[in-house]
Amino acid sequence: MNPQQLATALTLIVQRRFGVDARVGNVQSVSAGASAQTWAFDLIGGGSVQPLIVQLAAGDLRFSGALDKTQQAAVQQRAWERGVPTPKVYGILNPEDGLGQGFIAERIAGETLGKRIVGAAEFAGAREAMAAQCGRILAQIHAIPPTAVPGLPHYAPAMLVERLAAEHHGYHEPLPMFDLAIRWLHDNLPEPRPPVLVHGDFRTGNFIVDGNGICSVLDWELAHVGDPMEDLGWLCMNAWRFGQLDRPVGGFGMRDQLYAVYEQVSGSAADPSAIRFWEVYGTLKWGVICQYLTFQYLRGDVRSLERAAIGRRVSETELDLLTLIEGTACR
Amino acid sequence: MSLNRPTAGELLQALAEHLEKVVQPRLSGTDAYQNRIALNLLRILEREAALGPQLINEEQARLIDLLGSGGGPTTLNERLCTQISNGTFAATDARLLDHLRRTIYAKMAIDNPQYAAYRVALAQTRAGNN
Repeated sequence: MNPQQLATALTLIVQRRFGVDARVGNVQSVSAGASAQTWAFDLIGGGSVQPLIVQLAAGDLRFSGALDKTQQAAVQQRAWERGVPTPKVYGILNPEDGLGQGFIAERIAGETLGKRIVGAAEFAGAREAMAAQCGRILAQIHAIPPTAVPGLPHYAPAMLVERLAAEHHGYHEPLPMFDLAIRWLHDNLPEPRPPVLVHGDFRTGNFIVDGNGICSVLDWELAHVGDPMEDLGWLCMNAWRFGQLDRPVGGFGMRDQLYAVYEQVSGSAADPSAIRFWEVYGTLKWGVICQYLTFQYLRGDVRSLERAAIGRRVSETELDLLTLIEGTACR
Repeated sequence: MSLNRPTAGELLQALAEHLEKVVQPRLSGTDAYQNRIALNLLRILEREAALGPQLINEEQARLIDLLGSGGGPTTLNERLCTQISNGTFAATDARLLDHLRRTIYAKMAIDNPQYAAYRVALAQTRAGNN
């Protein structure tokens, strides 16, 4: 779809929702991700200009357990209503809109690039604040009733490991390190705790950041019901540190800051051994997602250079798994 | 038969230089991003042409030694995966972990030698060996 075609379709959509005077301007492609394409546009009407985005599904390709755009928007909206800093959802697309699944949300200014957030001088102050902000935001998310959006996936940790193992083995690419990690995960399952709403992809790269820290949390596609420690482990994975290995929280902060604020706001303890389990699980999951994206290319579903290239990042996750399991990783 | 110069590695180097010095400066936005991916892939192929055959042979020799049976790299790796899954190898087996470390370091030397965790792990291993 080109910007002109999208502008035409969007104009009808916003007129149905916001009145016949509504206009659409400045349509620009923001990114074409693995399972979504995002466009920025301005809603013009009533003497004001409102910056918005529309996120559309990119075909039917979704990683195992990922939500469709309608469910994703519903979770994001519930989170926004509960005060979580995330873009307000202005509308969920329906079949008459003719664009497939998708939603319209507030457009928030700021930086999302991981490398810049963990490294650029202008974000030094933001980095000081972000680990504590993460602790607070995660406690807020985990306080949302897990039944707030019906039909979210909910699996016990052992079943999550099984599902990931099946996904990996389906590619018939033998990786002994992955099978060792699967064994380790089965041998080190966390203590059961009451299930909560888990964001599922809470990490550097999915935060909009300005000079004061996190303005907004994006990408609720992997939201599900599960162990709250999963979000803390995922946030601390090496893959999201963008080279800042000695800043385990997202490449910007220290674990003590994250855990202290999380415990204070949520009233629940941060459990380091469960968090380590979820770091190993998350690293394996990221490795399997890289395989999934690569095999979309190899099977001919998506012909893109980016998709072909990501297969050679699987070895990074093998290394991270080895050092995590051996206990030599920077923690 | 011996192919004429340039070698595959030398041709890859020429292609990478072309993309970096001639093409990259003319591009912006998504095209510039895509070209950097292409360039990175050529750098991977260059390293693979230089290091790949020896590293793959070494991996195969270690697998034969570890498993006590022969076969090609894929068959051997499949056998090792099965023996890890069924518990023939303990997750703490020192010979297994040593093999995995050498194999993963070899992949990193080709795929992404600048990966920060690889630099740290390599320095730790070298310090441990001294």
